[in-house]
Amino acid sequence: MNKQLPFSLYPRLTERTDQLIQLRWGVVTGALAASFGADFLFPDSLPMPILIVIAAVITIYNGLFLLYASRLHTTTSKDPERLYMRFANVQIMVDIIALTVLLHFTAGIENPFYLFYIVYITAASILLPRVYSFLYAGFASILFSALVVAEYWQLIPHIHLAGFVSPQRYQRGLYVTVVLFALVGTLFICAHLASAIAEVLRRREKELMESNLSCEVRAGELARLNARLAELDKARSQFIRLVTHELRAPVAAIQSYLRLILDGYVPPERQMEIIQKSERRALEQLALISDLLDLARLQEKRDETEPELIDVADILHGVTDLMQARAEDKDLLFSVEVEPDLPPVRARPEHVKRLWTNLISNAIKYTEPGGIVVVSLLQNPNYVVGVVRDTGIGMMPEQMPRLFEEFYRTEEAKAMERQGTGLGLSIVKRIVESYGGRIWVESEKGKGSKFSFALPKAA
Amino acid sequence: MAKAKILVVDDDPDFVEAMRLTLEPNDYGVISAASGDEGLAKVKSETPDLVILDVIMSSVLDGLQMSQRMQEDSGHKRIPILMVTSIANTDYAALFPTDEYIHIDGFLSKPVPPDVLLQRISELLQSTA
Repeated sequence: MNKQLPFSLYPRLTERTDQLIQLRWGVVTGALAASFGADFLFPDSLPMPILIVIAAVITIYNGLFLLYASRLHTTTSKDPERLYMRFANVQIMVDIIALTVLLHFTAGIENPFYLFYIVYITAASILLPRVYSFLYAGFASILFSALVVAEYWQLIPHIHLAGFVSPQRYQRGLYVTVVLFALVGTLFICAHLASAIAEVLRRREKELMESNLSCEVRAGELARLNARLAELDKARSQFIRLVTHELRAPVAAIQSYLRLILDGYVPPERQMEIIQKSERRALEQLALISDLLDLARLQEKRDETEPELIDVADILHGVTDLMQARAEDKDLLFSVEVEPDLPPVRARPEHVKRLWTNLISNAIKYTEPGGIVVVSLLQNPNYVVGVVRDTGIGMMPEQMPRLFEEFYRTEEAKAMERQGTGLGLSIVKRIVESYGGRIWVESEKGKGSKFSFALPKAA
Repeated sequence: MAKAKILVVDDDPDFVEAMRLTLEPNDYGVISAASGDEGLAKVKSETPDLVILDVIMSSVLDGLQMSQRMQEDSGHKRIPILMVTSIANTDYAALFPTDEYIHIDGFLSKPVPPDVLLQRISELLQSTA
């Protein structure tokens, strides 16, 4: 039934209800001291026993509030905010009633302390939603007006403070009306201003809390991104080390050979052979560099040309002549099977050509003479699928996951074919994945391998 | 003086060839292995007097593992190991597991000038003789 605050002021509420209790101690002490002071200076002007009783009542209910507050601080309620709002309401309401009673026994309209109502309206504006400020302004106005009017019509007795102001003042209709108008007007204006300011402050506080929250969220995101970057950076350093090693090896080999020739370690009849070996390493280095460049270009995704609609079968036929010749040189059976009416894919022709060349030349390279290499091209509902199968050396299951890593070559592959950069399959994988496709391998050691790639059909 | 037997462990045949060209005219017997496993087998079967080892072979730590395995075998502990690698400088130290003891008697960077290699080898063989 309580109107909820626009956002949780719960921490503020606990603080402020405590402040109200503190304030009340001060007010009771001050009021008592002032009463005794006045009684001392102007003996018999104040109804001291009644004042002491009222102060005692306020002290008692403030003590009860204090007890309740300490219980409330340890509440396990699901909605502590509602409890605190109810608590604030009770306090303000009881205070307004107590003030009215106090005013009645201290000369009613003659006592300028009726201005104290403003304190409660301000407290309500700070603690509670805006509508409560006006409710309490109305409540205080009605109570005080009722008191003053009841005294005016002598429904209740008027208690005069001797020697303070003219004893007839409460009977002056015009004076009473003007004071009531002034007070009621002041209370409502106070309610309006104080609640407006409180509202702005609450909104600011809310914004601050939200921005703090989003800062925390962003800090978390940044930390995650940072960790990811650190990871990437580590992978990159590792890659650079590998590349450096791979690039250094052929140069070191060539330099060693040349040094040996220059220092006269190589007998003349073997010099030609050593120079040929050096040249082979130089060529290997060139191939490695161009593969690295291709890899870098694929990684940057900054190709000059846009992917176009291409026929994967056309490109396959473009490379088969060369591959057929290589296979025949090695005494391999080479065949190509293409499903008719294949749809086009969106890709760069040079990439697809690279794809076919790398996969088919690998198959030829790692198959012993007399073996078979079969290339097929087919489709499934979403993809055009290329398959290169061989009866070559194959590989062990534990070698397969590393197959597409840069520079990885199996021991068996190295033993069979010295030359090779270890980058061919990395390039193939990058190409396929850059077009949203995938590549996979099935293989059995000594039996052969089957590489398949799927490229999405052009929409 | 008996001919010292040197095992060259490297997966680069050109490097092995260069070693042969350097060492054989200087009366060293050269045997070779292309991997850490093969190297360990040759250490057992041939008991070489010295091992020249490449750190990075097919797997990054192949060479290191081989040197560690050699330490585990009391009979092969005394064989000096000369590490030769294209790891250029200490920047690449990060490649090594830092908390493991790596037994190496000498460290040379590829390419190795033949005279430097021969000198280090004769030093190592003398110190263990």
